[in-house]
Amino acid sequence: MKKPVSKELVAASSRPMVLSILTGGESYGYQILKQVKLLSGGKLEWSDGMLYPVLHRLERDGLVAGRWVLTEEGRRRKYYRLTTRGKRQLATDRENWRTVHGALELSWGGRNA
Amino acid sequence: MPDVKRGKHGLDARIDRWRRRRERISTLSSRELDELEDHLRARIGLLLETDPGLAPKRAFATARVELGRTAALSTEFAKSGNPRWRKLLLAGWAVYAASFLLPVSMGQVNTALGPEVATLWGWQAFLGALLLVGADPEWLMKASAISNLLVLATLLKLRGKRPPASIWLAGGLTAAALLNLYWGATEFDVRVGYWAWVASFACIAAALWMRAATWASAKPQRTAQAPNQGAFE
Repeated sequence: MKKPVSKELVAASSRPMVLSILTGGESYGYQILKQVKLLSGGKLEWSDGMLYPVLHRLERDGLVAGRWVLTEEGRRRKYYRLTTRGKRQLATDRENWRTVHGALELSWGGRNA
Repeated sequence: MPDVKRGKHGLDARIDRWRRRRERISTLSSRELDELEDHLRARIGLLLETDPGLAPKRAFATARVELGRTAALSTEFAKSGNPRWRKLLLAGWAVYAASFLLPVSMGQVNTALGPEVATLWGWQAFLGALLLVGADPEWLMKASAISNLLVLATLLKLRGKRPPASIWLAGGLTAAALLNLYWGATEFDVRVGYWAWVASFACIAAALWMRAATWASAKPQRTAQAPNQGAFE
């Protein structure tokens, strides 16, 4: 059985992952978590509750903005959207991850050749 | 989801108990619990939808375990907390401490040659207020002592888990700030240290109000339709 992605890597990728998902529009915690599982084919194992501190950190840093909405069932739900600052951060993160990914690909390509 | 409806009362009671227990044992705020409760309900709903034979009790247990341990959640939420009120609180305490080293007024000071009218420094006024010595007038020194005790109480109260007491403290500090402002403006010949002392009350009170506001349950906007669910739907 394949080992799950390490906690460190999951933590490091959490910011670009959440910001990327929010480029698709406003969303809430549970929905974001489902999208992470869908995008990673279930390989990125996020502890359900741990997503919320990540979202709060992003909100504190001004990368996302949250608003509370009363759902049709009468429940309070917090929706998050990407801010302009968040878009800039995502562009930087994307560049950085591509650099890392590119370097690793080259390195593995060279070794396999 | 027929099962959810059938077992709704039991499920609601379980979720309610789950929430009340977290309110008692954890440092999670009402707002944080609102979000976790919404997650729990959404997860239970999906579990029951995908497996109609699953008992609501079992779905609740699964969703609760998946959510994670309360202690770990509390720690992570604390790390990501909104620091604005904390910064304001630290600024208030810094100004309060600084006021001890500044002149607060002209007052009677005991010297080797007997009592003299001289500059009264913050620390002298503080000791005078707490020990009720050199009181002139005495009621003012008592009021000052109570004001100082309120500030010192914030150091102890903020170590506690739940903030309701902070609301009383915030109210007391706001009243103290206004009264001391009034006395400073109308009754005495005060110096910069006094104004710094009064300003520190306002800062600390504002921080406690902000803390209480971020702790309380959210007041959501009423919405006719859910916002865009995202591009991956």
